[in-house]
Amino acid sequence: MSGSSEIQMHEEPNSSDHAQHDLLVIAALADRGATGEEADLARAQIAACGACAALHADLVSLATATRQLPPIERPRDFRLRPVDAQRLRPNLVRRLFGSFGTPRDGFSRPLAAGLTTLGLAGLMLGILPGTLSLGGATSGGAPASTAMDQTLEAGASAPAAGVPEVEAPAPAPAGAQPTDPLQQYSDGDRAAADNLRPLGAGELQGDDGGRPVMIASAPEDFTDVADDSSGVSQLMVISGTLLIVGLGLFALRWTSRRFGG
Amino acid sequence: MPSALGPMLDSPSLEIAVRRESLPVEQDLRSTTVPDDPVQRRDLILLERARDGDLDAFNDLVTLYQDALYALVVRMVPDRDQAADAVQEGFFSAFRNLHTFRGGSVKAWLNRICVNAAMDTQRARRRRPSQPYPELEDDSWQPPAGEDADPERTAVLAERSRALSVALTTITDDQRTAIVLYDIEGYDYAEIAEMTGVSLGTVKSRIHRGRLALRDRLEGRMELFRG
Repeated sequence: MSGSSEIQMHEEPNSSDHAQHDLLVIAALADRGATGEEADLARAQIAACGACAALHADLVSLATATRQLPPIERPRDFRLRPVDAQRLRPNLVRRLFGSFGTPRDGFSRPLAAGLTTLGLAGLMLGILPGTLSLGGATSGGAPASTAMDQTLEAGASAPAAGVPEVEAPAPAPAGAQPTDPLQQYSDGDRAAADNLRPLGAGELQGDDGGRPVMIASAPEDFTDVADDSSGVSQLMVISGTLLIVGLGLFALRWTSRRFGG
Repeated sequence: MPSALGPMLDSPSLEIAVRRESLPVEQDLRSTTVPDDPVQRRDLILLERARDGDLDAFNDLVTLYQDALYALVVRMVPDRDQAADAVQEGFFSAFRNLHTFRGGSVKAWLNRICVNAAMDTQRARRRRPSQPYPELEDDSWQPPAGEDADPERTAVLAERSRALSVALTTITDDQRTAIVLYDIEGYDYAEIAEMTGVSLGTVKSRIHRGRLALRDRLEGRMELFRG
């Protein structure tokens, strides 16, 4: 007890400084793991600060006590039974998998997760091509389309510069053929073509009747769409493959952990 | 090769190794070098036999090291049942991977495997946090009582061990593992870094921070450790 009161008497005058001291170097010195500079710093702190000196003494005592901890009696015999040995003998599956899927295997899980994510993302993009189009329409397609419409309207209501004597289109009679060539396509195709319009924007020319029409760029656009669909199928194939590989990797991990012993 | 076996017979725990009739000759040891240490030679002989499918030889190794390995692992994983499972899994793993042994100390190899098994158990606990470790007590152990044994000192030593064991369960797994390997097993920083797969600086930091944490946990009971 007297030792304790001595320590506290030492601690008090230095307590404000002690909070600033580097306790890790004291711990390093107590473990004889301090390098030259650390050891010098620790010794200086111990010499100047009673709390640091007490800490050092305590840490040395703790290290000694830890080394002297008694062994704990094992609760059972760990010898292997023949049935264990039979189960554990390397077989083809175990050799194939090795340590695959063990908690220390830090590679296969992120790889499987990455492949699965890429596969799913690719499939979503492939299955929902409208998602891309919709994204384009909301970001840039709509204004472009609106500009196009405005141009069309302008062309319809007033002569555009460089396009003399453009007549305003007469209202189409009911049941008449639509003047917009895009109307012959389905709504979906038209929507897709609308998004491609910026590529052909400004390609207005007057026809013989002076009506502003789109030059025959729409069919090309649809060709592009057709090309895109083959691209989409490629994307689908690749994404599906990635997804299958990723899920397969997860399955392999599970199998290895479940049956790999 | 009786002359080579001579030193082995001096080993007190050799009866298991020598009870077989035909010990393999040195050429059978696929390890690159044959150590002079009789214990290591014995271990290598047993390991070679186990590699050849002799389960008894492997179980001899288990018998030789299971106490020490359990004592190590139960300090890392203070739940006794989980520690026992980890040791058992370590021996399973050793048996499965006998072919991966590349020479050196069989004991160190087994230690490494069981430390890995214990760390796997720690990771699994972290993934499924349930309850803190139960208080680790060992009533079976009592300090050796000599003629001049002071009952009071004996009681203090027992209480000190108990307090320290409990405090060890309250620091982090990483810190506890590093301290146990450093203090109890006597590995150096570099060996612990290799075993646990972290840098040397991390090992030092874990030991030193763990020691400071222990001192904090035992703040009211440091009298047990002073003097």
